[in-house]
Amino acid sequence: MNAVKASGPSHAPPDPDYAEETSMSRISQLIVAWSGPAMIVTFIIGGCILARYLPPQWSPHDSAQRVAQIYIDHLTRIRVGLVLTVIAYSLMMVWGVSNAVQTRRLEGKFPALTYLQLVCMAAGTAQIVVNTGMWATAAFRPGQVSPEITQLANDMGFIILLGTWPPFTVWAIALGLQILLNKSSLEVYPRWSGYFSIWSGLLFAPGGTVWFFKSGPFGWTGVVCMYVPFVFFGSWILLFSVLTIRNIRAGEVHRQELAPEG
Amino acid sequence: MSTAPPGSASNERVALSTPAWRTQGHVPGEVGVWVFILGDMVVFAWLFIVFMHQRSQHAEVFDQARRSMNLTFGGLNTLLLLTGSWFVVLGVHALRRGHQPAGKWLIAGAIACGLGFVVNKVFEYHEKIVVGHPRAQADFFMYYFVLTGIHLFHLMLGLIVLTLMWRVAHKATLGPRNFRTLEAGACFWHLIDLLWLILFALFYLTSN
Repeated sequence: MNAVKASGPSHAPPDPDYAEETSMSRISQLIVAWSGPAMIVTFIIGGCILARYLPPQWSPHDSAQRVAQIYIDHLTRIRVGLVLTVIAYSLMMVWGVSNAVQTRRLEGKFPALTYLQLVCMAAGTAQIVVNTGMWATAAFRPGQVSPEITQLANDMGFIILLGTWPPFTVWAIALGLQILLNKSSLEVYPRWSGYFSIWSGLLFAPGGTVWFFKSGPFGWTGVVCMYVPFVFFGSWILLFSVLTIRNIRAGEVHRQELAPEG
Repeated sequence: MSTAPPGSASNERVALSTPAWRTQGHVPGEVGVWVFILGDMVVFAWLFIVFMHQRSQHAEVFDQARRSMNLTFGGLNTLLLLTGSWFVVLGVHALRRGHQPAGKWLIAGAIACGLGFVVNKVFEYHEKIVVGHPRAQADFFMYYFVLTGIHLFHLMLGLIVLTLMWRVAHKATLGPRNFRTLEAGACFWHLIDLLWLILFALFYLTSN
């Protein structure tokens, strides 16, 4: 119903409700959109520089002793890095709202694809945070327990990190479909970004090869398994952060122009 | 639900924001679909380079493994995809000329070719898994299963796209939006065909 009020002719005097509707959504949408770049920075500091999970300092074919020794040697650095990594995952969840709320404007009263984006974002985050829990477990008592236990927790971390691609793939496809199936006269995001989103979503899938291979390009140190999903996930987040922030700054925060039925 | 009255400022703004290059010339499908197609080709090119690099380091082993591939399966699949692509081209042409019944049947023919590919691939995978391979050739078959697996996944998506095209072909009248869908879908199907031709060459034909 808000949409009806907002889409009147522009020469009409400003509707008092209009300002009330937009005054808060502009700043709140900016906050959620900026959490995307913030997530990437936090992840780079925590996951890459401090904890060194990317590029991985453990290889899938390392011996248990070697895996445990790395944890023992760099314990504090790894623990602090993991705290930042888990914060980065939460920022991902915050960021997911920014696209959903923008593309929500393209859907009517029953926004299935918006819901799909939101549940995938929430479920994906809930699954992937388990990975930091596993690594934190490996970093909890290395040296006090047998090295195989540390290795098991370390393996589980990588297997969960890359093996949880399906909700992320569905998330990106849902966003892409929402852009491509659009019948409104508005173009919230350009159509090419819809194709880009689906394509990125498909490229998160090679992460799934982590379950099968202990070396080469399809193991977790591999160019295909680790770097393809991460590079495309990062690019996907940055692209949509830029597009969303541009929309919000142009004042495109709530306007809806839905096509007539049929 | 709610639509802006015609001629409202917001509608004009949308119309003005469409850049001129979008309305000039003709890109098959639309510009956006080529982001997907060219991007996908870059990623596959990357996979092919990784494979060729590995192959150059273990040329003898890879060639032995290559000789154990069944050319009948590979050749039949190549034939099926080429025929399917030909059907899609003829189908889109028929629809453009208004021969809808022919268009519908040709797209259905392309779907049949795609399904034939899947069935054939299942038999081939089954044979390879049952027969097994020497441990030394593990790398070759890792690439074989992963690369053809990713391709098969694309092909399944392609079948969904073809089904969508088949449904579009049933519409009473076809507008520019429908032709955009048809052309974009046809381009995607050609991509699947093209990638298979390279996979076929890499895994079945390339010798030292």
